[in-house]
Amino acid sequence: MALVSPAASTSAPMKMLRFFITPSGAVWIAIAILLAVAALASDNFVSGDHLLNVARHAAALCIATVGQVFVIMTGGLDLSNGAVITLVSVVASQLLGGSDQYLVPVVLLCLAMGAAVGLFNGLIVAKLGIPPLIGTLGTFGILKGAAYVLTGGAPKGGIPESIRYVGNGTIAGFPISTLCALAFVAFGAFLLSRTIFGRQLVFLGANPSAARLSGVPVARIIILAYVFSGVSAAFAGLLAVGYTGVGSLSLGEGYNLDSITAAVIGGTALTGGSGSVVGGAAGVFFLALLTSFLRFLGLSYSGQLIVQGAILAAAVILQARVFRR
Amino acid sequence: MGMRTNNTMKAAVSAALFASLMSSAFAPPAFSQEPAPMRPAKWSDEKTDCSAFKKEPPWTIGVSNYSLGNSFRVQMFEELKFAAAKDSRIKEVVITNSDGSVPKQLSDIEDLLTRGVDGLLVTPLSSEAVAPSVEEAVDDGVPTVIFNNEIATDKFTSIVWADEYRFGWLGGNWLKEKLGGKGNVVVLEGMAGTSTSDLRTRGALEALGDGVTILARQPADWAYDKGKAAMQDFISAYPEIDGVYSQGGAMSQAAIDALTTAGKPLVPVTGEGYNGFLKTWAANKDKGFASIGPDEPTWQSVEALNQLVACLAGETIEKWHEIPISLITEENLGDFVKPSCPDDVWANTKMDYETIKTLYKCTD
Repeated sequence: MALVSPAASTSAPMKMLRFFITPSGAVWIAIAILLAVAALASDNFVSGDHLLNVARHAAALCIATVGQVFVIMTGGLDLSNGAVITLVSVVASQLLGGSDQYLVPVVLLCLAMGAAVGLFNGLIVAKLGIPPLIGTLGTFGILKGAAYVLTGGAPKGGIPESIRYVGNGTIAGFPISTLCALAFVAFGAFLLSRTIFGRQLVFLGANPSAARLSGVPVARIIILAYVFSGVSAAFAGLLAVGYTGVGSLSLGEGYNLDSITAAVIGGTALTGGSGSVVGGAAGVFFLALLTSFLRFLGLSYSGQLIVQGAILAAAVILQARVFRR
Repeated sequence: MGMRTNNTMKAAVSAALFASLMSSAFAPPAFSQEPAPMRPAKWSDEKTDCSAFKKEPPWTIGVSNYSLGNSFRVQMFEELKFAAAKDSRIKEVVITNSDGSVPKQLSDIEDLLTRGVDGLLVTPLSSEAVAPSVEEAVDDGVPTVIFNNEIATDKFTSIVWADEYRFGWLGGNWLKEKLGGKGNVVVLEGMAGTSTSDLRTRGALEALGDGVTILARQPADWAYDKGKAAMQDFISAYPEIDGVYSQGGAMSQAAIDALTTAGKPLVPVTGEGYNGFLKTWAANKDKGFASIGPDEPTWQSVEALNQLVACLAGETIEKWHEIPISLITEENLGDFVKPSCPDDVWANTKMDYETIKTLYKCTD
């Protein structure tokens, strides 16, 4: 959450203006600019249908990013979330085999797997003092290997209609997966700003030694943040595999760095202690819009990579230099 | 009433017949003329005399693979294991996987040679970087057969090669004929920077010709989620799409699903022998959906093994061995699609159904 300045007694328009020049507010300006450019460049891009498609693609990454924001707020990183997504996709696919028979136990098992991975990450970071970059990269490798072992290289089975409906279906025109993501963002924002756990997490991220001295259970909060990220990733995995309909060993590729990028664009500081769940979600939407728009322009693939890289670098530099001085 | 229908029918039939006669008579010859194979520059009819490599069985075969990253590659190596298990002269097959890393592949080959394998199969990740290792193996007296990619040296025992350009050309040509030589086409490509993807697209674009407008091209790694996202963008960006040239894999299935979800007509989409796609094709056939599947066999690994085994037996073998690209069409679709098997099965297999069933947990 953007830390609200003490001078909060100013008028509402001023407050709004202030919000947009904070790290987590600026991403909305970026989205608005992108949409304006897109509207000028193409007639069909800024249409309800298309934006809902973009939001649907962004749903799984959005959920994984909520967890990532929690971890980054503690000053950590979670590089293993993509591997959780892959693992969940193949486990769900193989255990369910396209049938609803064991739906509830398998979904719970997947979420529990995510929690267990998070617990492991949290323990090695908080208790063993292993740098999160190395620790969660190790977990990433272990999970990737496990997915190969479980599938023998070729995912089997399939995803039943029920999960596919959540991943693919719509309610009153809105993608269900997007609604799930929005609900999860609301939940994450509540957790971070309105609970003791959330407030302690922000505190310890901003100043670990002060937090420790004030009696904040630092290790426990860090472990819980990783557990939350693991569960987020598992949930994201279920949505992603509901979208594709079949487990895949490459499903989670790129989620770790994309979720970190989205979090940073959304105003979360890699140093910890400051950030926003809603901003992270907006960062995801910005990334998805940008990818889609560059494709829309019919740019060559190499051109897409270069433009995307340049825009992302500019966004991160702005975050670091302008809004966070 | 009956008579009238009959007459109209007759008229329609003869008109169609006439039209097709006319069109075939006047079609430019290039319309369905197959391209010359896009073989590697050094391609020759040369043979390799393996008398110097002759060895008494049983043999240990080393395999250096660079990735098991997709279901095609997985099945390619299952085919190899299946075939090797049936040959009593083969004692052991040691398969390494370098997981997309060139340095790891080089050390894998080193390890296999140190282990003392009798023959080597290599799918090179980089045709240049892996070449010295292949030369070293041959210098060490280990016959080495390359498959699934090219190699930048002459010093190998045999190469098993499929014409990816022709793969692309066959799909592109079918699509062009389906569209009557003109229309708006979007292109879904494989993994950017791989020779397979590059050659397939080049072949397809060549076949589609100038009459067809290419609205957009996008690499989607043969993957379902990337293919679907790209196709949904295409659908939003271009109101008039008359056909989809897709390099296959799960992307073709994703393209059909995206069209269906958007409530768009099922325009022709090219595919490949991927079961998920074949099932979707079969399910939409009656709704007027048309497709074609150029097919590169997963058993190219077995062809490579056969070359190697023949060499170890001291025979003279082809140095350049081409495997055919076959076609899955509306007529023979039923022979290839496996309705009770998961999506990740590749249709053109030399494994028996019992093995496939156990391997992939098919339900029937």
